[in-house]
Amino acid sequence: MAFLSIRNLRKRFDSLVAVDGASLEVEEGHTLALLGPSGCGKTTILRCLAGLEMADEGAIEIAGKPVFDHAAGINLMPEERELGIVFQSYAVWPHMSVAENVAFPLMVRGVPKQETKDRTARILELVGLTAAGHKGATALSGGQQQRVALARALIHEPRLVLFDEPMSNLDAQLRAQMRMELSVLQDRLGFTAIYVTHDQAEAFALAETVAVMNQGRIETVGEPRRVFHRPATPFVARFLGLNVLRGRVVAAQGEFSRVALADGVEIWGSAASPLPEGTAALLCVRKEHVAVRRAAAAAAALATAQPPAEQVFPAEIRTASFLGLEEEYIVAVGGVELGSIQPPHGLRAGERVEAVIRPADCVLFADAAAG
Amino acid sequence: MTASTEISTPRRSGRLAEVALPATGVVIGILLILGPFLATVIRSLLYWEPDGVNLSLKNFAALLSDPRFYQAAGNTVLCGAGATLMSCLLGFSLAWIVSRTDLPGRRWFEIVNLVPFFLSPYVGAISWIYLAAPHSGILSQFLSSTFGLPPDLIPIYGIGGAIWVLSLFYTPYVYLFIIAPMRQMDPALEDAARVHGAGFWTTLRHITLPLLHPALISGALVVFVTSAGLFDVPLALTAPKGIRMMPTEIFGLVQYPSDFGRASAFGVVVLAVTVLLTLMQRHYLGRRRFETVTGKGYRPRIIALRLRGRIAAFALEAVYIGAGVVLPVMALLMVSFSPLWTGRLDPARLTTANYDYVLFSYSLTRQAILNSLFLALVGASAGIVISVLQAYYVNRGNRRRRALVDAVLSLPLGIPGIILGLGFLILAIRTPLYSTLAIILIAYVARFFPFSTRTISAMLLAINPELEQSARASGASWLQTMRYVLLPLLLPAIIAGWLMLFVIFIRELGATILLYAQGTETISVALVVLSEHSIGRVAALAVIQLILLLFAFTLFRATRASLLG
Repeated sequence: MAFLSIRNLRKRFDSLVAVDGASLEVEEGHTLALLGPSGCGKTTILRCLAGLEMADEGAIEIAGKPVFDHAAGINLMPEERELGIVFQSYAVWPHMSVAENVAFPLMVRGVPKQETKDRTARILELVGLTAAGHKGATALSGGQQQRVALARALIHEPRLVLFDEPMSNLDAQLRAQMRMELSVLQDRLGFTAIYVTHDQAEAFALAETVAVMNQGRIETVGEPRRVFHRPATPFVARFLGLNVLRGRVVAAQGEFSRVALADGVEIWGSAASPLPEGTAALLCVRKEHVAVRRAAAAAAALATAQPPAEQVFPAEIRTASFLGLEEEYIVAVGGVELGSIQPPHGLRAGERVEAVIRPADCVLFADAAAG
Repeated sequence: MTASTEISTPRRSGRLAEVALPATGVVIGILLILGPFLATVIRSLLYWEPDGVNLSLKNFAALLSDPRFYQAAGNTVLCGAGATLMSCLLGFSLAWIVSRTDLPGRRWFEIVNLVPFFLSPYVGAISWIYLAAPHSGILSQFLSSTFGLPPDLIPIYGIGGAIWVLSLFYTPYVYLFIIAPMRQMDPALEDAARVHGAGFWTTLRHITLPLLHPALISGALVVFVTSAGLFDVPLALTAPKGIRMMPTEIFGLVQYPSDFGRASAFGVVVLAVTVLLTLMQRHYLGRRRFETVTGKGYRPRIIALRLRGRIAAFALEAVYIGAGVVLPVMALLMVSFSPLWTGRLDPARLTTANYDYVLFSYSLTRQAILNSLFLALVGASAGIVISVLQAYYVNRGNRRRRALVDAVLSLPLGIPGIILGLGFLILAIRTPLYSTLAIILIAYVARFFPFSTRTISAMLLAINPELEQSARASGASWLQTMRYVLLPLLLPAIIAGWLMLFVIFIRELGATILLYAQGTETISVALVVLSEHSIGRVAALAVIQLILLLFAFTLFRATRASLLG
């Protein structure tokens, strides 16, 4: 029995369908990341969980207790759901001190003064704000306000904590630090977390399970490595930043198919279910899997009958940008442009190179959009 | 996935308060608008004939065939348009001077420019009579004795005088509408024009003015409908010369021998025009609301004035503050401390007799001061409660109904006090409410709650709903969330709104003049009553009213200052 279960949730705002039949389950103590572009419905799901929006259909159960069930007419108010929430805006109350902000959940629950004081001190220490307790909440920096919001969401020891893009207003360094601290806190306190974000690195780093959403639907759910390495749909591939190329299957061999792209370039890739010859297909390959090296000799791309272990294409660097630890290139193979992320080779635009791609790294989908 | 067997029953009480309380505020507001509105419309359709009451359009026929109606309408539109034009010019210039130039003392001017907003237009009009009346006016005498100008040079009685006094009092409205967007405007928008070759005036005309257009239109429309509908100034300045104006005509129709039918028909015509103008404005602004306000706080570009610019800016400030505040107050003080006003202050004969009279000897004025205080304190408190509830509904309530509710609740903004007073008079005339303070109180709240609702709504709009939502998610009920989070955050707007209502109620005349009876006079009514006897006593009572108003203004500044600092 999952700790949190969402069944067939639907929510529309006038003509806009924000959530279109989403079902999810999360184990106790685990983190689920809802990942997707803005407007995909991830925040709406979170707000339905919190009771801040009422879904039109479906059911939500937290710790075995139904908090929303359209059919049964159940909809608990936010304060009856016993959870914590951290908003993107932090929503730290500007008219209260840090300690008052953090102690609020205990205050409204009528917890005795001394106990409130002790618990507030403890949680402030946990988030590293001991010295700031008496300060006005808005006198703090963004990162500190975020800690206040976090402490406030945790102090009443909720078993479910919701995070709505909590890090998107922090700078990159602070974000990495908060990510680590959040993991440590979750290990210590053992709460279950739902984490809404559009940042894949954040989702992968924090969550045991990632759900990628698109237009109100859940495209894929799974363990981060699996979601990342083997995108389940073309949308997921595009969202995660893979090269997505349109072509047609010209030869098939088991799970492998050879796909003719524009300009006569042909690449082998693998599909979950074999694609027969003549199928319109999308070929997805991660930028890290498009290797480039200085051309050894003028090799010609050969359309092999068998899938080779690796395919080598004569190519040319179109643009190169230095990112620090790595370099990003746009490589032209014939008329096909591919993004490539490689350790710094110092290649420059216009250089002749070889692009190396392994068929096993190329994921094929039937192209539903093509006729 | 099995359904849980224990199904908890949610508490309904909390949800009831969350829905019912804001809705109550809205319903009260709608009833307060609908009651007098319907009363006026129905009464305008009733016509008494020898065989009894008939439903007919005869009142309208009589009104529309009367040349006096067209004179009054024409004069009122002329007066309103004149006041609007002058207020816009003055308000725009003053706002620009204090927000965009380096004029020394601009922080001080910024505050003082608002003082006329808090003063009574009726008192303003009578003090301008003291200043500019032909032969006897202080300024008139000064100009004729010093420069040999004719002693009846200033035409204070008449439409010109009314436009002058109305402009002084309505300039702060435009000023308030303009100054915030003028500050928030991204200076890069103007800089880009300058860099690309536009001069100062070209930039003003093609960039600054179009960007401030929505605010300017809003301000102009509010000034037009409220200044045209104001009873106070025509009563003092045009009625004595027999010039017909809409508010004084309606007042006349209700006096003996009264013709309520025709007065109501007149009221319906005015209501229709005001509602139409308000809806047009909403429609117009609805399309272009987001053009200027970016939400970001920009530091506006401050323009360094050259000597001639400085002199011009100082002169404008001096004329405005002199004419709007200093001269009227001086005139009031001089008249109020003189035993018999002759147009000249005689330092040897100064006396406090007028104050003794209105404060202690005369029961009518004594009672009037108490009545005004009662109405202002209780009315402002009642008004602010329903305003908070309405503002909550309009910003946080049912998404589908918000816009409609907001539009309906904004209607009284433009309805002249005398017309709302007429509506409540018709409603109350055969009930125990007639000639009580209660009916005046209800009329005050009905006429002016949209002002405080707007103030609170504007602040509520700036409060991120996530602040309340995180309280709810933290376990607070709706009422606890209001108590600990929203109301404390709204406190500045609540105080500002309360003080604004207090000020408006202390000086209100248009609605009161139709609703008061013996024993329920207010300060403003007492001023009108006294003006038939002694101008020294009028001045003394006006000074007392002025002190109450300035006291509220000081509190207003103090709270604002402490809240910002």
